[in-house]
Amino acid sequence: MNHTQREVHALTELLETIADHKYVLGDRLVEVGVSGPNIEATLAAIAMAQGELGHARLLYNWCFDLRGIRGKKAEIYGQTGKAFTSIVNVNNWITLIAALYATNLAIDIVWQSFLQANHPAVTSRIQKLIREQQDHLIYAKSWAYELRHEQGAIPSRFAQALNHTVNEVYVWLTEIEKKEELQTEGYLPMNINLANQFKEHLKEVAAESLVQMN
Amino acid sequence: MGKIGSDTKKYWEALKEVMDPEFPISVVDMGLIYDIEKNGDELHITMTYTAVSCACMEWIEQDIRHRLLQENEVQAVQINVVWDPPWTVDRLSPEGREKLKYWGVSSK
Repeated sequence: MNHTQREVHALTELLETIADHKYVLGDRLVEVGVSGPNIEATLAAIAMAQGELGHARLLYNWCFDLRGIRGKKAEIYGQTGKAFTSIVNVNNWITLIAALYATNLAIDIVWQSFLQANHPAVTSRIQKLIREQQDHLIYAKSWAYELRHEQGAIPSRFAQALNHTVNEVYVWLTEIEKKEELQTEGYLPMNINLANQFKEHLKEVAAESLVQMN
Repeated sequence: MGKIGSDTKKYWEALKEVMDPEFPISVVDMGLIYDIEKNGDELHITMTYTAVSCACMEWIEQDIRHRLLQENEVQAVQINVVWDPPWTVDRLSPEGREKLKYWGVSSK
């Protein structure tokens, strides 16, 4: 693998990981979201499921392009195995919101770094997606805040669920930071600190006192 | 709507007959078509969608191809989907806005 191929490979792997997260989130938003706590939540979950699956489709197709696969794109029948375990294991509203919030927050931080680097091959592809994802993030953040400040056992159950995803996110973001190929090619800015940014944003739902990062 | 060259005007008009599957508004009035270029007997369409998650992409592209291939001189249609600039309601034509208003949909 030569210099350029290594960098394109690193970008492709990153995009495919995000696609996997979004593919499984879309699936869970339908399966679990359909039993949301109220009709508004259910409708929003189904609408966001379509959004997440659409984003996954765009990213998988982009990966096909980067791998030089031309012509009609293959149908996607499942993730490639890179999605967080905590997303795959979402089975109720609390774990769904925890996974949706932490994962979309992390992905948004990665997208914002891509925008900051302003690599022409990347920014033109993600502008629209970022705008749409903002709605999902605002929704998930509001619910995260609500669950965090609920009565009874919900806040601790939510913290536990959030903790599972946050630990996976933290490892993932740290790995991205270490991928020199992404920075040398200019896909991401030099010396990025994604994990710390993530930690700072988590405080917005007062989650820092609940979450123990490994 | 993008720049319309005299050699592509008829294709812009033709695409006014291709409707968005969710609303009876043409893909042109929806502002989905960014550019049409003619290269010999081939048309190159640059377009976008209102959302990345649009479930009707293949359907719309099929309709666009089907309509443009009805023009005798057109042998092939290449469609390039772009996301920059992103679609916003600002891209709706005045006619598109009127139709949305008629159907009770805000375009602000």
